[in-house]
Amino acid sequence: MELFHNLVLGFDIAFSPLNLAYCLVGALLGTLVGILPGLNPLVAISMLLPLTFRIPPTAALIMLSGVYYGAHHAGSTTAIMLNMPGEPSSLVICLDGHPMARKGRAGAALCISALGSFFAGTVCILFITLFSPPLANAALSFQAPEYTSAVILALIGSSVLVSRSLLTTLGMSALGVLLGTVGTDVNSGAIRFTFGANELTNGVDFVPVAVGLFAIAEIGSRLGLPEVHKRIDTRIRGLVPTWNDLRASFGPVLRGTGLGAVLGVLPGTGPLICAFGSYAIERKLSRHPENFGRGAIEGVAGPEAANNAAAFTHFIPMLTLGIPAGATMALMLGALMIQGIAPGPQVMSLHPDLFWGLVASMWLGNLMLLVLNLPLIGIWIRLLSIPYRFLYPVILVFCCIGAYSINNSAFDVGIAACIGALGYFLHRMDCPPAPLILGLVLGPMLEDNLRRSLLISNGDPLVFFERPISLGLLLLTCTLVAVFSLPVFMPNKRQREQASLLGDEAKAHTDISEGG
Amino acid sequence: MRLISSPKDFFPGLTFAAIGALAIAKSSDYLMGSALQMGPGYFPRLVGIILVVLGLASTVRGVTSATNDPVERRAVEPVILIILGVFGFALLINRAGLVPAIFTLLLLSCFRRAMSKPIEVLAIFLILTGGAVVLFIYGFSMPFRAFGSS
Repeated sequence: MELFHNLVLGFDIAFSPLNLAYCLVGALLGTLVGILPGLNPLVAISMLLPLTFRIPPTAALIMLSGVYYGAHHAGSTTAIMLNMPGEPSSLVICLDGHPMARKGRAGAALCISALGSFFAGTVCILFITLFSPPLANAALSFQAPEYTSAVILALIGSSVLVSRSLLTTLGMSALGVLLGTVGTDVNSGAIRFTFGANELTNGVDFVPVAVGLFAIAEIGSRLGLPEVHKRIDTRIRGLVPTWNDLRASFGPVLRGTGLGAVLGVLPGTGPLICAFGSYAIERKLSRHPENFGRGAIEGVAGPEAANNAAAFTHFIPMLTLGIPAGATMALMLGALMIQGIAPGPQVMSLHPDLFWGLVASMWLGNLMLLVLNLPLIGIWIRLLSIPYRFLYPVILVFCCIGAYSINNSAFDVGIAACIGALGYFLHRMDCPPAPLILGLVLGPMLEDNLRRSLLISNGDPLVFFERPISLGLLLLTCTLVAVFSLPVFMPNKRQREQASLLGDEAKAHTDISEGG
Repeated sequence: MRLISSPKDFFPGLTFAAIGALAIAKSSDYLMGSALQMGPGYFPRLVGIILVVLGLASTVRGVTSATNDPVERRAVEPVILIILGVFGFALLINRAGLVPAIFTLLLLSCFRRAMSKPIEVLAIFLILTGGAVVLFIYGFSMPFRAFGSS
C-alpha cells in the first residue's frame, strides 16, 4: 500500500495552513482570470512566476496550478452563462450549456458541470497515484535520444489541431526554438545572436516573451475591435439539478473522465480534443441526439468531466519526465527551475513532498472550487460587467512590472514590446502563440539532448530509430500528425464555424488564447 | 482570384523564411563542427533551415491555395500606441521612476480616451499608480523608485 502512503503524505502537506492558503489564493485568482475577458491564464501565471521566488516551491506550484484549473473552471462558467468560452476547450460547453441557461436551467448546468469536474478530478488523482511512479521509473531509463524524441513529440504534438495551418504552427514552434538559442551556448560558451546587446548574454527570458505574445498582442488586437456590450440576461433559478439530470449525466461523466485521463497526457492536443471527443461520443451514444445543441445535459456533463480529467493528467509529463506537454506546463517548469529544482523523473524521488503535496492540493483545490464557485457565482457574474477599457490598463501595468521583475531589467520590458509587435502581426495571421513559448522553453533541452545523442551514437542519426522507446515516441508523433491532418478531424473549421455562429465576441476570445 | 489568395499563409511564410535565412547566415559566424561534435553554429543553422523550408512551403500555399481567407480588418492604431507605451515604460522606469513610467504607458495606451475623457484616465492613473507603489515598492521591495532614477 505504498501508493496510498504517498497520497497520505501528500494530503498531510496540502493541509498545512500555508499551502491551504496558497491553494485558495491560486484558485480564486484563477477564477478571476478565467472570468474576466482579455485576461489569459498564461499571462497571469507568467506574471506570478517572478513572485514565486520568494515562497517555498511546493506553495508556489500549488498556487500556480490553482490559477490553472481555477481559470479552467471559470471558462465553463462564462461558456454556460454568456456563450463565451473562457478557454478554447470550453467552446464545447457553450453548445449545450448556454441553451440550458437560456431555458433558465443555468443553475443545473453549472452544478452538473462542477460535480462532473470534481468526480473527474477525484478519479484522476487515483490515476496519477497509480501511474506516476511506474512512469517515473520508466523515465529513469530515458537517455539523451529518448529525451530528444520526447521533446520532438511535445513540440510537434502540441502543434497539430491548434490552428488552421499546421505549417505556420510548426513555424511558430521552430521560431521559439530559434529564440531559445539566443545567448550563451552552455556547451561551448559561445555567445550567440546577441547582436551586441549584453543583456541578451543569458538568453531571452520567457516571461517577457509571454507578456509580449499573450498580453500586448492580445490587448492590442482586442482594442482594434469595437467594444461589445455584454448583456447578461440569464438569471439563475436555483442551483439544484433534477434527479433526471443526475442520472443522465452519470454515464457521460464516467466516459468523459476516462477519455480525458488518457488523452490529457498527450502533448498539447490532449485537453483540446478531449472535450470535442466526449461531445461527439455522447451524441453518438444518446437516444435523443436531436437534443444536442438545444440543451442536452449530457453535452455538458461529458465534455466537462473530460476537460477536467485532461487538465489533471496534463501535469503528468511535466512532473514525471520533466517535459511540459503545453505552454502552461512550460511555465510551471519555469517555476520549478526558478526554485532551483531540476525537473525530471528524479523530482518524485528527491522531492516527494513537492510532488505528492501538489497532487493532493490539486484535488483540494477542485473541492474548494466546487464549494466556493456555486455560492459565489453572483459575484463572478457581476465582475463580468466590468468594461474592458478599465481592465486593460491594469493588465498592461502589471505585465510591464512583471516583465521587469524577472531580472530587474528594463531591457526585458523592451523585449516584451518587440515580441508584442511580432506577436500582434502573427496573431492577425492566425498563427498561434503558445507553440512559440513551448519552443522557447524546450529549445535548449532539444539542442542539448540532440548533441549528446549524436555524441553517444558517433554521429549516427539512426540512433533515434534504433532505440525502442525513442522509436515509439517518434511513431506516436507521426501518428498524431497523420491522424489529425485527416479532413475528419477539422475542429478548427468547426471551431471557426461555431465561432461565427456565436458571434465575434466568442471569436475574439478563442482567437489567441491557447490552452495548456 | 487575387494573387495572394491566402495572406494568412503567405505573410507568416515570408516572415519565417526571412528569419530562417537570417539565422542561417548569422550562424556561420560560429563554429559549425560536425554531426558528431556539434558546434554552437550547428543547431541554429538546422533550425534556420527548417524555418526556411516551412516558410517557403507556407508562402507557396499562400499563393496557390484555393480557399480565400482574407485577414479581417482591424484598427492598428491601438496596438502601435500600446507598444510605444511599453517602450516608454521601459525607458523611464529606471531613469525617472515608476510613476512617470506608468503615466507614459497609460497616456499612450489610452490616448484616444485621454483626449476625450481625461478625468476617467486620470482616475485610472491615480488608483493604479497608488496601488502599484504600495504593492511593488513597499510590498515587494522592487528596485525601482516611485520618482527618480534607480
